[in-house]
Amino acid sequence: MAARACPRLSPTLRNQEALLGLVFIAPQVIGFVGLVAGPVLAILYFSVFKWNIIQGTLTFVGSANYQRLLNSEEVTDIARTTVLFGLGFVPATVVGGLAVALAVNSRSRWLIGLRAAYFVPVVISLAAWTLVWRLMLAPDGAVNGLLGWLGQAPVPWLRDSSIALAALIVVQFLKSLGYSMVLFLAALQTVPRDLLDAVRVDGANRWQSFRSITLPLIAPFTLMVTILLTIASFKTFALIQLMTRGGPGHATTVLAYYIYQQGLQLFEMGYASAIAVVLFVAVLTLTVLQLLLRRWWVYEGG
Amino acid sequence: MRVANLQLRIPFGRIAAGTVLMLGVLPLLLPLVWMVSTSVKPEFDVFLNPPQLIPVRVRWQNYVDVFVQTAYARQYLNSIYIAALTVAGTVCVSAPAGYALARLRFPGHAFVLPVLLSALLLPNEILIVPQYAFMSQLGLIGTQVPVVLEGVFGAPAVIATFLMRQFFLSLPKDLEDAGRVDGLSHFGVFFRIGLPLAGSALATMALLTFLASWNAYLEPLVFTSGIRDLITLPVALNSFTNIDGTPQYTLQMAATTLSILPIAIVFLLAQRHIVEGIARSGLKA
Repeated sequence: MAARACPRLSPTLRNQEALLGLVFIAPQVIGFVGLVAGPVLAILYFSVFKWNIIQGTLTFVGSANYQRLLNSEEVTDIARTTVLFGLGFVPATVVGGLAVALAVNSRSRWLIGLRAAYFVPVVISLAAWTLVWRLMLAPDGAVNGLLGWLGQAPVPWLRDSSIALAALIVVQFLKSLGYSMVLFLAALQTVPRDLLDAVRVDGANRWQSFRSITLPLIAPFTLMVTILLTIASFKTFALIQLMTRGGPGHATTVLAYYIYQQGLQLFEMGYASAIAVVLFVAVLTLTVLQLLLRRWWVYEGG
Repeated sequence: MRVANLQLRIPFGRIAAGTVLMLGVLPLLLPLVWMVSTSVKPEFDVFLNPPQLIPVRVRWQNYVDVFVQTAYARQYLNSIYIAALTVAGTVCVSAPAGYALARLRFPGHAFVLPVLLSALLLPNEILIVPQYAFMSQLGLIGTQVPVVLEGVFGAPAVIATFLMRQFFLSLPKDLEDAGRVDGLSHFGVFFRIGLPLAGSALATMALLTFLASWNAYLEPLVFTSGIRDLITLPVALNSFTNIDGTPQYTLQMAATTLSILPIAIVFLLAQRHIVEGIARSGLKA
């Protein structure tokens, strides 16, 4: 790109280019500052206040919000639930997506049709997906009806605190499987066929060629999919709000939902900002960690 | 030799893998069949045991009731014009921004893109409280304006800008140089040469933006204050309840089916665009 600083352009033309560039980028940058960068600074700032926008109060409280959340058993539980959700959802979706992608990575017509079928839940709204599953997981819903037909006892999917989170993870997993698959299908296109054929000729079986060729070559993509799904797992809102409202008790409340409850239902906006800061730091740390992992995890070529 | 070998080996593996794949797709598609099936049942038949995938009695009236008994028509209209405005706004913002990032040297051009892309790492759920306060300062809570603004400037729009940048980078430079030689200004090059060639990239970006807007839940819920005549479909779907607060499942599923209809049509017509767009924006960001 640097080579494009063409000497034949007069200073006026280059000024014209700079001006147009600024005009073109300005709306996007202003919007970004107002809706992303500004709010990031705002959660840092307001996290040291007691802030209620409805009553119009804003009182400086120092680290009180942070002390409150560190000492809150509820927050500890909710942080644990958030981590458990991620640990259940992310690895399953990465591995599942890769497995499906490997299985449907072919030009045969019916596999392309199957690919589309796996992708369908991705384009549907999470609200619709969640409501259909809520209906099916109801005490006398279709899933329990099916279990009964197979001679099994009904399961209180969403009403038992030890089962509800697992049920939510499965519903989110099924929604995201096709997304993961599509990303891995794109990754698999970058693996040279010749290379796979070569090791096959040398006597490697499918698993060996996958282990020694495919997996190392798609590692950068695997990392990216993992990061994207990790971020997605922190975004879990509609699923929780529509399926369980965080219950029973707060068994399925995750941090994203807790921020909404505290900040926009109870209007504890300073406290909600402090929780948002914690989640922000967690997302940032995880992403940086995953990118650092790249050094020994990802095959860099050569 | 090899051919014979393959023919002997493949069937078992293929049949097993095929069976697993077919079974694996059931929990993805059956819920949608169940949705449609429930949408035409009388309320009384929803929880029949054993479950009836094919309704024993059919009540088409559900699809009429959805519109007659609730504000569903209004909410459907909301979803349509909010998505349309969001797509139009995103095209106007992201096409020039993407072009600037790909082709124009302006102060700060090297660091704008990484900063913008950082938005993709930030779940909007984290920022919703100050966004609410900001919109409240502007007097926009209880309106649909913030919903559109979020769609045009939030994370989905950054993806759109990124897609446009990637497209403009892939255009052969010679084309633009030729335009320059013919006396076009920088704006002329963008408007007369870049943009007319960007049809397919614009379509992909518009599709992804449409999907994001049509399916958004948190923003319309929060910024419209849940006002009945302002909310969009994903939020509205949860409002089908009986007087005692229990969900009115048949109407809800009819409404849900109708809400998915445009997505289904878009998906059938442009599946390749959507898949490519998602793969590109996801992996190369």
